[in-house]
Amino acid sequence: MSVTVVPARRARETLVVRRWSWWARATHAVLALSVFGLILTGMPMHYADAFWAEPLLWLWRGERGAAAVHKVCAVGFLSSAAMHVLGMLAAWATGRWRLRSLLDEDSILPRWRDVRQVGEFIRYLKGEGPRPEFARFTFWEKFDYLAEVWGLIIIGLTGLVMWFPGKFLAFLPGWLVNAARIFHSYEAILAMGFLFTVHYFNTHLRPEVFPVDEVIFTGNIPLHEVRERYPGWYRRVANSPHVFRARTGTGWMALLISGFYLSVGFVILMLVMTTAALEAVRYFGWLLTGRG
Amino acid sequence: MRVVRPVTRALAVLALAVVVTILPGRAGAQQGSPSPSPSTGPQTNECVGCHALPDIVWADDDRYRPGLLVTREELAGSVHGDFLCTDCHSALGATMHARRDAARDSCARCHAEQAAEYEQGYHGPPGTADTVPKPTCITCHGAHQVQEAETRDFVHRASEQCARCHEQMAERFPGGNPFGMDTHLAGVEVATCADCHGSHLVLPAEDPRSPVNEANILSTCRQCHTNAPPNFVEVQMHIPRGAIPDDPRLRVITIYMLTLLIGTFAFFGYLTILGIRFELRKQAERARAREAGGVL
Repeated sequence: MSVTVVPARRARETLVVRRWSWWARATHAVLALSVFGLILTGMPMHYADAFWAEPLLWLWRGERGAAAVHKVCAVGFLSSAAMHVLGMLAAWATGRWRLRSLLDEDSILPRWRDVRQVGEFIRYLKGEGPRPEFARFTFWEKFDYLAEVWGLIIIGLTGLVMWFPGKFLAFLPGWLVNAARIFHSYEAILAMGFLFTVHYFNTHLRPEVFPVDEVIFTGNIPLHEVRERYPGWYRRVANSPHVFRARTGTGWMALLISGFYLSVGFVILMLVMTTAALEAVRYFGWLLTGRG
Repeated sequence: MRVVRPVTRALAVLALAVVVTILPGRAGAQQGSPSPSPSTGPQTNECVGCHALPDIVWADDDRYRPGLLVTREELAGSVHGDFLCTDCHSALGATMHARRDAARDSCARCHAEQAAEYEQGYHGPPGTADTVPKPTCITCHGAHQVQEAETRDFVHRASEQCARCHEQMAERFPGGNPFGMDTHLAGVEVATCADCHGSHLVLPAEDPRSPVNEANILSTCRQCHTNAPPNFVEVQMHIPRGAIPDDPRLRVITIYMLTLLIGTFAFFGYLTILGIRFELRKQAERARAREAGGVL
């Protein structure tokens, strides 16, 4: 018996450009899965007295189960970082990627141009100017990537400090364990809030692609989309051998996965934001009145 | 210092007698109920007649009420279920509700070692009218529902009692657990008040015998964290969650993270609002263009 994946809609052959290699997509899958696990176990531990904490912890058979799953996901989280670094090393060793390309127009590292494009983009959204000539990555996509790298370093390191306090306190002062907890929880709330709003809004929730941007599943981006969204990149890539024909269209699997992530992510975000807002109100009330 | 006079005691007895006479129907209903009674002595029935009334709790002040409510079900579950009330509450015969902490003397008849430790500690001297009430045996162990005390489960439930008086710790250390995890959510293996501060012999940290004294704290940590390095004792344990901490270094970190959090969401929130307005405008323009096309 053969299983065929039937494209749900927009199934047709068109010109595409390879945006994400299979290794990058695999890295993203490991990252997305482990981050989801980390959020669903970490948030109910952090907000242990919120009304939604106990039902969520029941899912993991209590706080001890949640802590265990959290550590398994933490290994996955750090593996995704290792996969990213290994992928770069392999591409560099085989000559498919050069270190120098980090300084190119289409690099993911920020350039002075990105700062200018923030202002240009705001003027464009207000209807006061043309759309900036984005290269392969827009400034918010670069922020997305660099925030992820920065967040992974902070969350990974502080998580390890709390996981193995004895090992780290052999050479670090004790207050850093307290600092690690503060960094870890705020960075987690920041990362979760960013992923489930900004990251989702700018990928899957754009009206043109809602409810799923297939580029992270197929790795291919239609050439006409490149022309509209990344004109700078289009000029460099349109006549290159990187353009090829491929079938585009959203598969059921991509729809299911994306729908699951979007809905569960939205629910947990709302729960955490409500609790965090209540806590902030309580805290600022205490700050202003001195009574808690 | 306020002294409880014998006259006051007599008045209290009288008042109780009046209450019992006023509520004969309810007390009678309790006694007449067919539930099986584990303690059949007439004394027990007499005591439970009032103490099984839910209202009995409200006769006490709001701060400190160790198990005033006694039900037959509780007695049935106790290892002391076949005792007579006055086997433990021997002092009641003479003074009738006068000394709450009289229970200690009764417990000490069998549990002499624990009682001696307790007497040496901070909680030993009984509380008076103008000081805070001190806990007695029954505060943590319960009066009529005395349970096995060697289990982790018990240590956790008992440590929840600490916050009844140490309210500042209830806020800084919810449920009595490191890093503010709630006792009922965290597993019982997680350390709680009594694990570091001791149980029967509770001493201020300045006392050289205290397990949280500077000289002993590392060995206290090593009870669980067997290879804890000396820096381990510097970790601050009583940190409230969600507020800006007192420690200046932690305060700087918290404010930095809050600024980053608010700044990031403010900037991208602004962009998102602009983006949504842009989309709406674009759709309105498209609709207008369609309309105009239809007219032509």
